[in-house]
Amino acid sequence: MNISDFFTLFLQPELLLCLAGGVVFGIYGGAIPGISVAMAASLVVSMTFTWDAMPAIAAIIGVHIGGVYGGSRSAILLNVPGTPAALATTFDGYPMAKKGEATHALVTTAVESVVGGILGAIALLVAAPALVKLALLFAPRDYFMISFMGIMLLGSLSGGSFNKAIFAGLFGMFLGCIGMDGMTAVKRFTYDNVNLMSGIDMIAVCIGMFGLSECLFQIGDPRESKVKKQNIGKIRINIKEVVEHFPLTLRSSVIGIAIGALPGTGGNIASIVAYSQAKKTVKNPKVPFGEGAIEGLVAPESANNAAVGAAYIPMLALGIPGDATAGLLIAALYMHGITPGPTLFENSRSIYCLIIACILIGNLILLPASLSGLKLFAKIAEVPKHVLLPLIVMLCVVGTYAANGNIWDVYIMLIMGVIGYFMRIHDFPTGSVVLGLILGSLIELNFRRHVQSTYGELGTFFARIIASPLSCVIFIILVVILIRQIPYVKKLQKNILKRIRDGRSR
Amino acid sequence: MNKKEYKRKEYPIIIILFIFSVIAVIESLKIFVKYPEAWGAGFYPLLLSGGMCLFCMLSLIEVIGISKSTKNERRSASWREIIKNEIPTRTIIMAAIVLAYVLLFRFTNFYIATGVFLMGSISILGKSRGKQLFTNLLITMGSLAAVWIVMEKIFAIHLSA
Repeated sequence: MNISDFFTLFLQPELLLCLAGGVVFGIYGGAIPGISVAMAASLVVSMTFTWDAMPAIAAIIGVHIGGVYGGSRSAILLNVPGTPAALATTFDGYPMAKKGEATHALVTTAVESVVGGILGAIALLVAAPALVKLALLFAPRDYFMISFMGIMLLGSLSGGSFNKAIFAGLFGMFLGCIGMDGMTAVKRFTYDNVNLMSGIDMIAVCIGMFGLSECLFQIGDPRESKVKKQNIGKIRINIKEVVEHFPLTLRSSVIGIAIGALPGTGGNIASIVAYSQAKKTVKNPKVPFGEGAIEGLVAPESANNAAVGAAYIPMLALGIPGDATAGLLIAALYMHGITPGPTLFENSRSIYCLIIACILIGNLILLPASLSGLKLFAKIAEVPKHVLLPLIVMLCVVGTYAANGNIWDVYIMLIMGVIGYFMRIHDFPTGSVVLGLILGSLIELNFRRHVQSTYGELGTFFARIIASPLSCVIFIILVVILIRQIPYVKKLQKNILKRIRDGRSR
Repeated sequence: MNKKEYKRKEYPIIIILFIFSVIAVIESLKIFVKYPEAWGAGFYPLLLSGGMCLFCMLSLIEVIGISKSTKNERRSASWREIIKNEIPTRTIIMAAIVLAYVLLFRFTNFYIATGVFLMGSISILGKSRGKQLFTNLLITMGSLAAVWIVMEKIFAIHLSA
């Protein structure tokens, strides 16, 4: 791969414009509670499907980069994370805003997001080509197991009920079965409905599960109806502070990269893990954690943006998204007739280079973009919920209808919104449903290929997995994840950890 | 929320999902009977729906496994209170307005339906009167104009079918 491949693409100013536009849209979309990064990206996917592939991809990646950062704005100003990845930012960001240090907090998150994002992009640049070579050794059974591992990891790391998370993932995969079977053209669960023949639209499910369900949830929550007035002062970067916290930024970015590169995880989990490691490792912070510690902003913000670049590692190498937004890019690539995965490097090298270049340059664009409009945003954040939520519903309808011009998709979005609402309030992760739907076709195709190659015999099915070292390792990881969720094993693990800690303190 | 209340809240949704999973198994079986190969069109959805049933049951066991409530816990909410907390009135109103919006969209066109929806929902949810109604009208007109410019003029996507 030639380094010039990356930069020749940016001789086209319209690509830079699309990327910058995406970053700005992402910042403002992510900053508005109720518009998640995945939702903002799904709106852009639906708006850009008539475009050429390259500008559409640049815009979607821009939204991903901007959106993950944007979530921190409302987290700091309103104590409401704009995106789930900004949840940990509220712990110290909001106390800082209450002390009148909102500008300091906003500038810190902007700078740390950029540094983390660039480190994530470098990891992508280095790791993806190596993983592509490894991915060519993968058999269908490995793809099937790794994809399923993504759903299991999301369930095990989300912190909620593992059983509910796996149910949600299976439900999403089942939704993916609706329509004509891709291998045999058999109609499944269509009940002679023409609209169901081509399956359930991924965008409609995403918008319903993330956007509409959030609106229904927020409108019923009385705590969400109050609007807080904000006061924003001068905007200035403190270089000394950035340098001082660089070791923490580096540690948190490595966590973000490691977690973001796992299929199906992303910045949401990375930021929480990074925050807890900062709490454990930073001795004597100037302000205690939870009361406005600057380290409490540095860790989650650098981790969640580092996870953005890392989320594209499994996507480019295996065709498996690192998070829901990378999954939407996969959907967009298919819409433009491009197949993601290891063959992307050989068949569409320009697209491969564009994705990496967009992540790298998108993060550079993020710095000036993230420092702009802070005062304006404070005003947007003050829009009352009874005005903001109907406008978001309108955007949900526009985004769903615009993709195919089919009112049926709007009905699906509405149904998924209501299902998503009930799932949310009962702690069934909606992200697992969407991930299941996105990965469903990949899992099914590879599962059936493997079963076909073993003539449907259960013994041969497992024998082939055990016979291959690579498959065996993946299988063992899957089994370990599953075993660790058994309540008895969890209890045992807790007791062992407690004994180790007690031993150390003595 | 006390444990008894939590259980009362969780049982119905898990049972509904279990019933849905059982229906999914039955429907998958119908396909599997026609195409009985393990790599055919019916086996994979049968596996998934079976998995859904299994994890529903495990979720139910998880909820049952929560230890019984103690005397010190505060009075548990009645069914009526639980339903009210589950689906607040404002959520029901919002869901009804969105449903009406989608149906209106089906029978008229996007701009008419959206105009009525925005004006109606902002006014109802914000309990607007007098001068506020005029502000709501301005927000509605402005939003429609923004959507029209972005979608129809910039992206050339026609929403008024």
